[in-house]
Amino acid sequence: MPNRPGPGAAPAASLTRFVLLIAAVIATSGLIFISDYVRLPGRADRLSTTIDACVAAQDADAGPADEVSRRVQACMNPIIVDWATFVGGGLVLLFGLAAAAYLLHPSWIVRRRRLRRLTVDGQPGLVGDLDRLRRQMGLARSPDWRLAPYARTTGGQAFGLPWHRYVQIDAGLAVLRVTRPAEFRAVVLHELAHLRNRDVDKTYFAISTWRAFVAVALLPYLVFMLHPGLLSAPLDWRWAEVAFVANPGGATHRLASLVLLTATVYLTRNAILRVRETHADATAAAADGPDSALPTVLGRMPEPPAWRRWGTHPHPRRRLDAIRDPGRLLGAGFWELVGVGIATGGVCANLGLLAGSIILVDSRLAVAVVGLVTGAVAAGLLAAAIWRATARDPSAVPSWRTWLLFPLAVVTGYSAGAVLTLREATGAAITLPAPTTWLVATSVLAIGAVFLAAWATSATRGVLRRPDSPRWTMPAVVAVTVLVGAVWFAVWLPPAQLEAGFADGWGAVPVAGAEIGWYAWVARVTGADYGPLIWLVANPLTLAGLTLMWLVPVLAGLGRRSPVPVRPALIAGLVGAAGLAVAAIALPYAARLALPEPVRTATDEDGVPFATVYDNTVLAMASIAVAVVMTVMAARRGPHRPVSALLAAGLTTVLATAVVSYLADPIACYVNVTAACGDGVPVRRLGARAHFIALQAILVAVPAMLVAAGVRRLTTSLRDAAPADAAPADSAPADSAPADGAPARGRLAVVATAATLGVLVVLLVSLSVLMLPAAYRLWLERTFG
Amino acid sequence: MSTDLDESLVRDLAQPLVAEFSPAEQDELFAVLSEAHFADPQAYAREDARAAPLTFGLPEMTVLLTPVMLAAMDEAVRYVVAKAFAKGAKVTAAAIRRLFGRVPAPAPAADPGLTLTSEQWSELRQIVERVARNGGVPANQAGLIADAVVGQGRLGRDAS
Repeated sequence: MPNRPGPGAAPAASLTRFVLLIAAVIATSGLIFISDYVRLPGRADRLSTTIDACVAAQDADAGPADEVSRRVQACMNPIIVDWATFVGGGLVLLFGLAAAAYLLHPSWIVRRRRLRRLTVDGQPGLVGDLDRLRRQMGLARSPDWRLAPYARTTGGQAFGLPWHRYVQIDAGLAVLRVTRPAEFRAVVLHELAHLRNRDVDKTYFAISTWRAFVAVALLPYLVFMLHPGLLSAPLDWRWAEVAFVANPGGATHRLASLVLLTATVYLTRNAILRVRETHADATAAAADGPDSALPTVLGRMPEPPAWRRWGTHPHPRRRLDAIRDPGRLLGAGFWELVGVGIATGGVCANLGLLAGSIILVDSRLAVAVVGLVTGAVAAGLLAAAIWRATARDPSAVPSWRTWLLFPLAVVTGYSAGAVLTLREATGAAITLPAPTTWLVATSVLAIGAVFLAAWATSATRGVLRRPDSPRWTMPAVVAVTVLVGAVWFAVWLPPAQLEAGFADGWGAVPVAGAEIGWYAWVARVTGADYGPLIWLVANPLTLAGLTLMWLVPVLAGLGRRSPVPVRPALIAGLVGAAGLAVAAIALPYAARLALPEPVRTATDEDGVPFATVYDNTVLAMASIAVAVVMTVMAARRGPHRPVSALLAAGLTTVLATAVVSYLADPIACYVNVTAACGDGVPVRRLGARAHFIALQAILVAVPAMLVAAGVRRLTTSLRDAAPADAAPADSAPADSAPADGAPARGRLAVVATAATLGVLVVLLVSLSVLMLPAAYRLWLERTFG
Repeated sequence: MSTDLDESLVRDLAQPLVAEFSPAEQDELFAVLSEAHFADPQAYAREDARAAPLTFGLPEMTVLLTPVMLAAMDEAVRYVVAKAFAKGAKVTAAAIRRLFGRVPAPAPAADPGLTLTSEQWSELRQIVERVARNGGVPANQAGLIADAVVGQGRLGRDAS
């Protein structure tokens, strides 16, 4: 049977596609209902009047800016609540209709096809054979067998609700029981496989959702495009008010957006149906054994036309391939992830703008909240796709498709979805960013997505390679991917909406010493202010997420075969911190030698004082130490490099923060290099320092790690080409976990390692907690006071 | 004749033909298919091949002979009854059974007998063949079925 249980039981493709379908329907319908709201009688006028009144009150209000913003929010609240109620009501109606259609589908099918119950008393031979096949499929409960007496077709159909399943047997198929029993068995087993694979509910709910979407969202929207005043003045239709006449460009844009979003929903629905068929084929063929007639049946199926590639039934060739190689079922499609991106982009571009402009006082917070939710869904679907792709052969070196193409597919879809709009081109229309802005923002997003995907691939592979991995590990890997992806996307999204959101600012050049070229360069580079970084620094989830990225794989491997190599990472961290300590001790002496005293002692009211340049330099050195450690870990061999690099980074960050705060500062004071000694570092500043060090390090380390991994791959390939009996390229190095009966010294080392990790986790969590006050001030104070 | 009698008669006349031409449909399948046929006598000539989710089957259609035979025999009985009424003859189920060779025992003395001319048998043959073709039966098999219906009737008549 495909998809064995345990940690290797990857989520079925239909499950992730089902989640995508629901997300795409919610996104598209939500956007449509937002647009439809102004078509309700009086709502457009009320909205416009309210906005004008609130803006006028804002202009007349001379109070503090934050309080004015809060008063504007209170002024807007009634109309926003009304708007949100309408959108929420629309979604409830849509999914209520979908649920009703789903619940009624069995009785509809039974009535429409006039199915007749097959009973042991009435049809003992046929029902006896069917029940034998049911037991062969491993189903404990017999479905309600029904005959379609008017169907000359030779097929079957599974349907029903969880508490009452049906299998329809066409009359033509019942005849085959006697004339061609092998083919009869193959068809019935295929339908029973649908029950075994729990396809029925997802399939029929997907179909019901699509139909409800068309009825409740799509058709009304199209009607409103043709008759905008249908609800307020139904008999007063004017040609000039038709959207395509009144605003041809805007209407075309909206229609194209609608087509793309609807295509995403429709094709996702079809993808669910296709994958269910292929999965059922594989399950039925496995249950029927090597003599199954299923390949023969599939081989006789006619070649469908090319356009049906995206239809509800898969190509027979693909079905045959899935029978021969069930691992194909675990493949994730590029287009599926593009669809994830399109839905995410559409929501962010439309809802983000709306939320940011009128719903919340702090538009950055509003956009970030939208990013947090959509980023979580997108990251979860990406993680599920990586899980499936890796589960096919966890021992193989990960394909570039998994860690590179998958995240880029999401980013590509996002870029396409972000230009979609379903609203009238009024004041809140989407404006396209400048090409450079778009390129920088998209590149930053892509780098983050690839980094996350590379980690998820590595962690997934590490878990799936072990047959004894606990069941919680893969859900935990997905959860960490969701957490980190959501936080990262929530921080990325607000500046991505701005023209210069990702513009960097080099540090100022000190007036005293500006003529010293290298000193001016160091001041500019170490004082660089990269705007979005502060939102990750003042964020208690940043270090926590990075910690979970190594902690989950390490815990998953404790006491098991092939664990994450912990000790090399810890040693690398210690060495990196020791190197930093040496550099921090040497720095003040070097500065005294290299810079004249007037430069070092200048207070420099108008520019940057030496003390600031010095502090920035120490922090930069700490970041470089962390980045070097990460790069060294990435250049090693073995399947856990991203995890090891993050573990090493965590330790180095903690130690570097200590070195900077409790060694570099006192030494600088002792050497009197800055001519100013502080009263020591307050504990609350440690959190910010640690976050700056870690994040600056990651900025440098990501490209460096990619280069290191590439060099490693190249040298490994060259070595493999040589006849020498080199170690396998991807084999894990000998590591810490001692075998049974290992000497006490080995056990002591394990205990020491575990204790070190425990202390490290406590310290990293503490550093995250220290950021809570700053995070509140930055993220929430403006809204909540 | 009442409707019930008609259904019972038609079923009795069709069943041996189904057993002969499509043994897979006899017995348990014949009962449920004939019940469905009498609920919608025209359905045999319609194609019911709608695509639906989670459906799977062979690409080809099967010819269901039970509804075809029932429809053919229904038409045949109607034809015979119409001809008998035209002659002013009394028609009973037993007479029709005898006409189609399903009751080999001789007729009671009071029964004047139910006969068809050669032309009428020929016409009846065409009716059966047409109904079979409407039901999707291939031409050669439709001819064989029509021959069997007429042949049994004539044979039964000759035998009696």
